[in-house]
Amino acid sequence: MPILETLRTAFGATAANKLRAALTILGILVGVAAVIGMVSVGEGASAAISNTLQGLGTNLVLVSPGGVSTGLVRGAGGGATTLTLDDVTALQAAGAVGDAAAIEPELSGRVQVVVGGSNTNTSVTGTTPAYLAVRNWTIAQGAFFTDSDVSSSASVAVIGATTATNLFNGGDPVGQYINLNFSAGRNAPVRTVRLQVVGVFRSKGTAGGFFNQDDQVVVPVTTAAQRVFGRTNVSTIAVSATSQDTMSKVQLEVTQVLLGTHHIGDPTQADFSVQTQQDLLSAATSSASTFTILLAAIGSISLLVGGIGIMNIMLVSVTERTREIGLRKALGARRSDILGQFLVEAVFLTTLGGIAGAIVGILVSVAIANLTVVQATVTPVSLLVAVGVSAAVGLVFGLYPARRAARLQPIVALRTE
Amino acid sequence: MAVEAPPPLIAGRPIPLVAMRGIVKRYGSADGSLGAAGSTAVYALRGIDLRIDRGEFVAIVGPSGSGKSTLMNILGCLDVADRGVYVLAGVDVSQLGDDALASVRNRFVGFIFQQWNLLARTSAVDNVALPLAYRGDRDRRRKALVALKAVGLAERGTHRPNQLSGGEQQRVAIARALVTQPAILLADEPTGSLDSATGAGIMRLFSRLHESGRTVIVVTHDSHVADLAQRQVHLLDGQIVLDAPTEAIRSGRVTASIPAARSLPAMSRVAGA
Repeated sequence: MPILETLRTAFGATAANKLRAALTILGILVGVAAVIGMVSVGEGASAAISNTLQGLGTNLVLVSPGGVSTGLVRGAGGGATTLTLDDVTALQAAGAVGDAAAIEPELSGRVQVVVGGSNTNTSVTGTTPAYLAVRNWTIAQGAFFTDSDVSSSASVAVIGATTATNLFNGGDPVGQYINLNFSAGRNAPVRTVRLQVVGVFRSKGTAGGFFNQDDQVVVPVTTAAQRVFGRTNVSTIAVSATSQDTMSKVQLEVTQVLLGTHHIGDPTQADFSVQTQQDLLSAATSSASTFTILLAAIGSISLLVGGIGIMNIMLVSVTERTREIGLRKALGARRSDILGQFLVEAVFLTTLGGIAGAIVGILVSVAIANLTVVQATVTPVSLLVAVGVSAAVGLVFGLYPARRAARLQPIVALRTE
Repeated sequence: MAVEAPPPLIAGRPIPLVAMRGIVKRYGSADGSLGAAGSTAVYALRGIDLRIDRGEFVAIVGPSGSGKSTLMNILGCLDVADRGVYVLAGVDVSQLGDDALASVRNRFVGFIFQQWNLLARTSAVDNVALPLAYRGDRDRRRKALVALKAVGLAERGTHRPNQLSGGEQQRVAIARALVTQPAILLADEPTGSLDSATGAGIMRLFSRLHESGRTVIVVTHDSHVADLAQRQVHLLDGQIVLDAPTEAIRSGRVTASIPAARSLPAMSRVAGA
């Protein structure tokens, strides 16, 4: 039978049962839209994580306490306490790490910050002026604190754009005071550290990502060690390599120096880990793609349900049209003609559903991106895959009903009322 | 395959259009899938020898259960016999598979059913063109219009079955059977669903088709319909009991070989088959 005739028959059969066809198509539509929507959220999250990590600094090599971990950035409060300010001094010693452009310690924790009636829980980091260059920050208002502030443990702070908004609500924070409040226990008196704001960071614009870099308070490392946290173990030592090419060399040199200062002979026993930005990026990308696969799998389940709907409707259609099948066979239709007729009908339905689902999926992604903080990115590949998969769903789930139709004996089929 | 000819009614024709020899059709099987107790089978046809030549107009007559529908299904290659040889237009169709039978039906047989079996939502001309579509014939629309004209429905080509009367629908079905230029026209109770006037019109159409040289086989239980044919084959309990020209039957010159058999059960159960 010519393909055009087969298509015409499929279209006619679909048009004859409009409501039924529409509901069947809806099943596929929901499945395809779910896959596209879910994957777009996954892709968006992945893109957001990449952006955030790339914005972390310039040619960054990060040293963290504790052994090598497969996870992401360590939590501020927890983790090992094996890195100290002495390690920073050792790394900063002339010639210790030849290809390091800058090195800065980061002694951080989460603190309740209060200004008048406003208060916010934010990250407080003690560091040196190298922080600006290593972490790729610029100052929007005021200035960063100086080396002399560090040596004098000055009571100064530079705050992030989001923190400034949270605490000062649009007012100029420079010259104002903020209070860091600590409580040792439920009934213990509140200890307060009072700091003067000397500068505000220019926003990196990653608000709405997975962690907000613009919400932070940065103080001189000496102030953090002596007055804020009362400890000298650092959360991170951040090293900026001179170029992208020297990053792995820096990674090696830093490891050598710290193994020496920690008196560890076997690198596998190291009580610290040194990771480059690329390491973090690939770890993050791989967990993001796992996340995307998970979301796609959830979406696929609804596509599967839609496919079962197709099979169901095609079986009903074969039963209803048994007599027609018998007639067609009596007039000379071969098995392949009948098989093709019902397969084309199933693929026709699912492809319509796939195209409609792709459109709805794009709308859903745009809505997610505009109405929530979650980013959603529709890639052309996911559209092609969705339409292709829906056609394949038609083939797979249409095959069994079509084979049943093709195998009907003409006399049995003609006898059916 | 060479077939030993049954006693010829019309002598002197070397190649019969239909040659059946020892056709047996059994429903259920020897292992008792139909019958309740062990090995029971129901015989619908119990050894049919039949020869039909080109240009004949034959009525296959019998009460319900006589096996005439089974015989029609086998004649039309919708079904195959369990035993025996059937040669249609020189092709031995006894051992053919599904798809081969489908193309034999498409090439040699024009079916006309009691219930017309037209596709709903499909115009008359597309219904008529359907058998040609399975051949991939690109000229099918024009041929379908010619066939519709032959049954007097040239102006009704765009009508759908539900816009046509019963008699018109049967004419569309006849046009569909004619469009492939088949070797035999095979009609199953063609007037069964029509009033007698319309039915008579359909039978006149068959007579005309016969006069124009076509081979027509009509299966019916109605003796009035059968009397319009040139030759009658009477079936009872899966066997031919009478095979004679209609004139001879009407004049009383021949009678069925076992007329008493009419009181027997429709199909005999044969134990131990």
